[in-house]
This record gives sequence, C-alpha cells and structure tokens, in this order.
Amino acid sequence: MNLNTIIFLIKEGCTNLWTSKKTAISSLIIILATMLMLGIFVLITVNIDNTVNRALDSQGIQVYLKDFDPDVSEEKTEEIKKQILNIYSVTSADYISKEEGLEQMKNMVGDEYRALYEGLEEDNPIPASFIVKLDNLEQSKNVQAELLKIDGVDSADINEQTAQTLVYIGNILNIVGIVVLLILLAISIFIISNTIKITMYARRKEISIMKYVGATDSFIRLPFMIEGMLIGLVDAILSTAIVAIAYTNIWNNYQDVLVPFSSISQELIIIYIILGVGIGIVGSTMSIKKYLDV
Amino acid sequence: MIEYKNVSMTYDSGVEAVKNANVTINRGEFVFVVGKSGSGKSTMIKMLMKEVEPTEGEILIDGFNITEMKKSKIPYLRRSMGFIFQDFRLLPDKNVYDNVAYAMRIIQASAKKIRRQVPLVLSLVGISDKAKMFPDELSGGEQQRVAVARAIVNNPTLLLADEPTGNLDPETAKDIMALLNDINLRGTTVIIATHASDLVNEMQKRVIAIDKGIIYRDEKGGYNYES
Repeated sequence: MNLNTIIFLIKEGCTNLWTSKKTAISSLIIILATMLMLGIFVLITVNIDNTVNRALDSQGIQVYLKDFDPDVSEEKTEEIKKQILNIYSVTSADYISKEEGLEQMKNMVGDEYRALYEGLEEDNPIPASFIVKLDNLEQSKNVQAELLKIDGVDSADINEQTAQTLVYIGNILNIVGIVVLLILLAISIFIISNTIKITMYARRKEISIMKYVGATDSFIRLPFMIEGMLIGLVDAILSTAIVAIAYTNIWNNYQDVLVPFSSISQELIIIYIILGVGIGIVGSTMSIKKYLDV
Repeated sequence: MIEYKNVSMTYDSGVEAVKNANVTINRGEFVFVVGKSGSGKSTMIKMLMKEVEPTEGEILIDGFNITEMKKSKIPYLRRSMGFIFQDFRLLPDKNVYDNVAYAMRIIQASAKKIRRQVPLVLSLVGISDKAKMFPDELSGGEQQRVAVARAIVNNPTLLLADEPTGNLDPETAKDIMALLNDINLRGTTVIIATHASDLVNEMQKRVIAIDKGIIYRDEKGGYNYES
C-alpha cells in the first residue's frame, strides 16, 4: 500500500467517524463507562495493595541482644548490625538502645503503669535491640533462624500470625484483581464489538459496493480500524482526565491513606491507551469479517 | 474472450438458475442476456463477477479459469471489470467526484492521475456539472451515469450491467444504452442482462435468451426475434 493510499484511508476513517457521529458517540459513551469502571477498580486495587504493603512494612523482627558491658557494646552492636544486614531479604536493621527501649516501654504501657518503670534508668532491665525489616515476609522464619546464629543475639521475636495473614491477604488480592480485570476486559470487548457490529450493519451496503468495485479486504477494513482506534484514543484521554480529577479530589481529603494519583498516573494512562486502541482495533476487525464476504 | 463451458448453477434453496450453459463471447462484443424475472440471466452475470459460483462446469476469461480462483484474488479480477446495477449502488456519503475517484483509489492510482481522469470520464457521461453533488441530490438517470463513469474510469476490458435501465424512464434508459454503446465502440466488451425488450429490439445486437436456466437462443437480432 503506498503512502497516498494510506493517507486516503486515514482520512476516510476520520470522515466516516464524522458522518456517523451518533453511533460513534454512543460507542464512545459505552466504552467510556467500561473504562471508568476499570479505572476505579485499578485505583481501589492499588490502594488496598498499598495498605497491605504498608502493614507488611511495619512488620519487623524484634532482635534482643544479650546485655553487654556498656563499654564494648557500641563496637559489638555495629558488628551485629553488619551481620544482620548480610542476611538474605533483610532491608534494614534499626538499633534501639537500652534507654530508648525503656522509653518505648513506658509509652507502650501508658500513664497508669508508667510509675512502675520510673527509677529503672540506673539499672535498666530492658536489653538493647534491633528492629529488622524484610522485603519478603514469607522469609521471616529463615531470617529468624539466621539471626539466632549471630553471636550476641539473645532472642528474635516475630509476629508470625500477622505476617502470614498479611501475606495471605496480599496473595488473595492479587488473584481477585486479575480475575476482576479479566472479566471487565471481556465485558468491554463484548460491548465494543457489538457496538461496532451495529455500525457495520448500517454500512453493510456500502461495504458490499466497495467489494464490487474491487476493494481488497484490508482496503475496506483499515478506515474502520482507524475509526475504532480514534474512538478508543478519545476514550483513553477522557477516562484519564475524569479519573484524575475525581481521584485527586478524593485524595485531597485522605492524603494519609491514599496513594497520590501521580504515582499511578503513568501506568493508568498506558493501560487506557493500550486498552482503548487495542479494543477499538480488535472490536472493529472482529465485527467487519462477516460483511466482507460478498 | 469469455467462455462458459457446461456451466450449471443451483442455489442453496434448490433453484436451478442456469443449466448446462455453453457460451463464448469475443473481445469487443456487445451482448444482451434476456429473459423473464428469475430466468437465470442475472446469475449468468453474477458468476462472471464471482458473486456466485457455478456448481458445475467452468468459466474462462482470456483462457484463465476463474472458477478455480482463490477468494483473495477476487478483488483483482473485479478491477479488470466495470459493473452497473439496477439500483446504481453509489456510496451515499461521497459526492459524484469521490464516488468515481474511489474506484481509482482502490487500484492505488496517483493523485495526479485521479485529478486528470475523473473529470474526463464525468464529461464523457455528461455530468461534469454535477461533480460536487451527492447521490441523493441526483435523478435516477444521473445516478446511473455516475455508476457508468465509475465502471469505466479504470478502462476495464469488460463491462457488466444487470438491468441497468430497470429504474429509469424510457427516454433516460435510451440515453444510458447509447452511452453503453459508445463505450463498446471504444473496444470494451459489454454484457447486459435486461428484460427491456424495446431497447434490445432497437439496438439489434447479439441476444442470448434464457428461460428457466436454459439458453434457447443465441444470435443477432431483437428481443422477440424468432428464427
């Protein structure tokens, strides 16, 4: 196909879109509704995922050290920290000194029992510790075993049940996410191919005339594909704009809980463009086939 | 040269439209295929444009057996022919100029060639002044002229017409027939399926008469001529 012909067919696609405004607008609205639903779902998933991840992040292993002679402890703790950080999947190890530990304990028990801990500064019973964080909570048992092998470590506590529950929730969420996404995708393709089928039906006579004059299938198909693609593209832009405005408004009120739009906007725009254009092309190609057989 | 060799065509409904047809049409001939409605004359034309396939026999165009042709090659076969239908079959959203130019764009003619050829053909069929008008703004006769222009714009060697005057008043029908005769005089083979006896009688060309799928007469003369 030469350049002249391609330009002509692109123009044809645009002209067709203009001449069949009503059908085009109804397709546009239907696709927009589906894409908005998809966008809302993606945002909900991302936010739940984020919350679970944050909860996972806050889950650490508390590593208590044996009580050292205060004079050597600093050097020793540095060495222990190095060893901890060398363990696979450990991302950080934050040191909590005996004093900080006592202070945390006081805060934890609240004002009522605070008095019990008063005066303990002189002979502090709380050992120094590390809060060890992992990038994969499923590794926590292995990490715990490794930690206990380190010289100077007294105990390593993990809240195993919480960790496992969170991992479980995360996995379930991923599966549900994929299933719902596939269902929505199937619905979109179904709706769009049906809408285009209606357009095709209205133009079946035109298509048959083109065939009689000697047009090849691809020559007839290309303007329809461009039409579908343009509708998809406009939908992608509209969906992104609507979702961005609506979500940012909600985010303004719940900034501490929700993920900011900017952190997911790129992915969402890419998803929308691929989906809109892809569905437009696939939908129009699928539905025109029947009418090309003249 | 077109050859129908022992061609029969039975529709899925069981109707035998053509029975054992053997016809040879030479290059540059002007041929009428005549008969009543349902006689099989349109099927004879439709088989040439591969809208329907013969159930038996074969059709050769310039020695090439089109019955064995692949589906994907049909568009290229059709480009070597021009078609005219009773209902004109113009693209409703395109003006006269673009309707004719469309046939050239399909064969990927250059923009320059299109700009040169389309006005030439429009003037040949006598509708130069209507180039910017849309099909629904034209009379039946004018629409058929556009269809003729579209059919000949790529200089086909064969022009097929199925009841080209069926929707036209007698005077306009005569004009269209004269136009088709002019095209034939330029060397294009013209085959017309029709039941317009007046016109056939007047033109005195080769007549292939068909009834219930059987060709019962094939000679030069009028519609009702009996030898």
